Amino acid sequence: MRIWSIAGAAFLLGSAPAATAQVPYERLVEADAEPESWLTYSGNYASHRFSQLDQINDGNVGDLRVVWAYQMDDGLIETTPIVADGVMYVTEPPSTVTALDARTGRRLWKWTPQMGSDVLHIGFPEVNRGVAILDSTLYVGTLDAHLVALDARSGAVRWDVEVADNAIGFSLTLAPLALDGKIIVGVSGAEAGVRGFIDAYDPETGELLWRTYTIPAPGEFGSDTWGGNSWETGGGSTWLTGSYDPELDLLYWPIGNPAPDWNGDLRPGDNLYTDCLLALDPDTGEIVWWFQFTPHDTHDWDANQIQVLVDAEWEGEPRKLVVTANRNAFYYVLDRETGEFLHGQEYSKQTWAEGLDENGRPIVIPGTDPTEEGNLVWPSLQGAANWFSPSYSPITRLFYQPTRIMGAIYYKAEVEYEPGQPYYGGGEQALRGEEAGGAVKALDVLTGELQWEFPLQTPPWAGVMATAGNLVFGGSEEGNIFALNAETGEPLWNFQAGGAVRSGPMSYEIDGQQRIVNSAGGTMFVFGLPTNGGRQ
Amino acid sequence: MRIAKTTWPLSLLLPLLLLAAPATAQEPGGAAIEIDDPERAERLYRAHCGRCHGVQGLGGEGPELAQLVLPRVADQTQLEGIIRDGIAGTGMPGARATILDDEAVALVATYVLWLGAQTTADASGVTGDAGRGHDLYWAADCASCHIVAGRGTAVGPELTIIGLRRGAEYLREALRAPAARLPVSRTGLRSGFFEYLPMRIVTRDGDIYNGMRMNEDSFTIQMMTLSGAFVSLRKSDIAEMEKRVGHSLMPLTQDLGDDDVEDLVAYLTTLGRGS
Repeated sequence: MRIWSIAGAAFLLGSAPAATAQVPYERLVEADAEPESWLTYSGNYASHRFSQLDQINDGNVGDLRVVWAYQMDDGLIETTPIVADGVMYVTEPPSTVTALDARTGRRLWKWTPQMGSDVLHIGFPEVNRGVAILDSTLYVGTLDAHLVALDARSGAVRWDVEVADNAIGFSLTLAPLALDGKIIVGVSGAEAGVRGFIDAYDPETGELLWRTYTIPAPGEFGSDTWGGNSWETGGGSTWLTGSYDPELDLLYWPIGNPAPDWNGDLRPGDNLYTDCLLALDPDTGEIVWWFQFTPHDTHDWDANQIQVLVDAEWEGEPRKLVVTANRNAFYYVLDRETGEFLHGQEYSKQTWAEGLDENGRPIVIPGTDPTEEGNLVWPSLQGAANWFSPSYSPITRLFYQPTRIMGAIYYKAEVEYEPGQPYYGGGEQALRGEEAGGAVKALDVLTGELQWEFPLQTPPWAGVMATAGNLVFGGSEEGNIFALNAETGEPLWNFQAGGAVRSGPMSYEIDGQQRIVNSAGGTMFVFGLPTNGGRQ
Repeated sequence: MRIAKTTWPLSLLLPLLLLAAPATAQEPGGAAIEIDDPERAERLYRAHCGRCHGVQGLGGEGPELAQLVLPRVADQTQLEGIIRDGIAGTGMPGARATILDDEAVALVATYVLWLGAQTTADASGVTGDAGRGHDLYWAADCASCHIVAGRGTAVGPELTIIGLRRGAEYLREALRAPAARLPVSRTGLRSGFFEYLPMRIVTRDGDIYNGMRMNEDSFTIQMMTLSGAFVSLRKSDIAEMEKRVGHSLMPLTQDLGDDDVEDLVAYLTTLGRGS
């Protein structure tokens, strides 16, 4: 039996608990070897969001019931908890970190940053997507653009650094990524015209180890893709957690939209590295390769989607791949050693490109840019995909993508940059009525071909998780937390939670019992099978 | 000048606003909403509100604002408070003094109310006799499906203040071609759904239900039958489900003459305004 309460541990040891490491880097690399835990935002460095637990499976999922629930502070819940050694670490809106007994849901501690009432968050709500854990420390980004290290046992602050100036629109909403001796974070703020970057910090001290800007300065490679001084306010935020390949020692980080969003006249050129995937050397921050999904984007189609690392045979040869379903409605397969484009195709309704050329560059249909009068284009500014997580099952070899099927009328407008003010250059009016919808789509991971889809009434904001129990868990805007058969898409279980689901499901095991976690409205629900339902 | 009021799409109206200084529109009580600097108001609205609420105020990630009655707003002061402070537990942020000062908040609030006022009915073009329309409405048993001032049955939309919400042109169309424009819900867990959508459902057991959808998710559907009974169904129990988009449960009004329709329109436009 594990005892993790502070008082209990001190009693057993007869003194204050020693500051022994809980989750060293080696455990993060080998996360797949301990499916009872959930150690990173996406479950493993490859960002599969896949659980190898199969106690809950396609034969018994219909018996699933709530074991405990936790009611959060007011706000939208877009977080994925981490579970390590019997404790769940979860963030609450806007930037609070809470430790819960993973068995009972009872709170162990709660830390809330002191933020002024004038914190900016332009273009996104007050959300936080989770923490990173390394050794005995948790790392959280805050809405006022700080990175804070917390003692995992107590929530005490070990250090607190300002990553960037919130007064000009920088925020941190993503779950940081812990590597060997580094904490990697990105920033939000393109809608305020920031110049985006990716940072690495020393886990012990908070010292900045390197910073890589996503918009090149004059003289740097790619600076000729920006007209005039537009690079200074070019956006390219880095607001979603990247992926990591320990063998190649490459860090994969998706980059957001150029600024201003909808008026491309103000930034002629391809606008590197906006809407790109960057592969970086984690020791130096050097860009090893890049691939741009949407050159000169005028629809706010950030590439901030989860980048999924897959090893597979490609044309007869084993190959290391990175795959992603982009906000622009195309699915991409790239070689993750070189960035070479291997395959891409439409996976959701789009009306802006005829397709992709042999290098993966979109063949843009003329007349699809925003106009002053308004121009109807699929997908909407929120894209076919967004930050909410896909899942990859190494068993079914399917890529599960919650998909938004929605068009919008895009408008262009004049705009002048003002620090700390919205820098959009236009707007959008999403289509009304039931012309919009959604689906969980199961795509062949190598071809992007649709294998099955489960329809959703409303374009979703919830991630999915596949499991070794032949299940895919997901959620809907209508409040359903559900499970589908991973091979066929057949719905097997549904819980009406009474509030929109906007987070990513995860799974862990405690006392030999598998748990499924998802949130809806203001509440996080933890589900299990009834064999353990009455005994927490 | 007074801006010509119109029905959807509002996009046709917004360019006009740019030419108008000041712009005015009718608010529910009948007073004019005047925007001192409509161009700046529109720019501020688009920059700070349009991303979630839509450039036209028709909703998106946030709810529709171009409606006569905003659920949390009794007056402009309350609306300014919401714009300034946000709404806890939702995606609605506060504007904060650093990003919008009090003057700008007030201007945006006025613009939002103006957007709503654009949906207010244009009573011009009414040629019928409201008194005769009143008699016809109650004689024709419209109350078997609509509630006015607490009287009637709620199968179709409540009409108590329909005269504020809808203009003569819309009402005329609603009587002659009621399926042309079903209202769209922008609230909570059924955002984006057509309201009053007729449906026909056959269950695996052979039961047949005709009625109107009340709500739906991926697993269940809730409907009201033509007799007003509530039915809850699991989709796994349904053999056939027909969503009759392009249809309405409104009875055909072909037997009504043009004069009758005009009289009904005249009566309906008085509802909420007083006659």
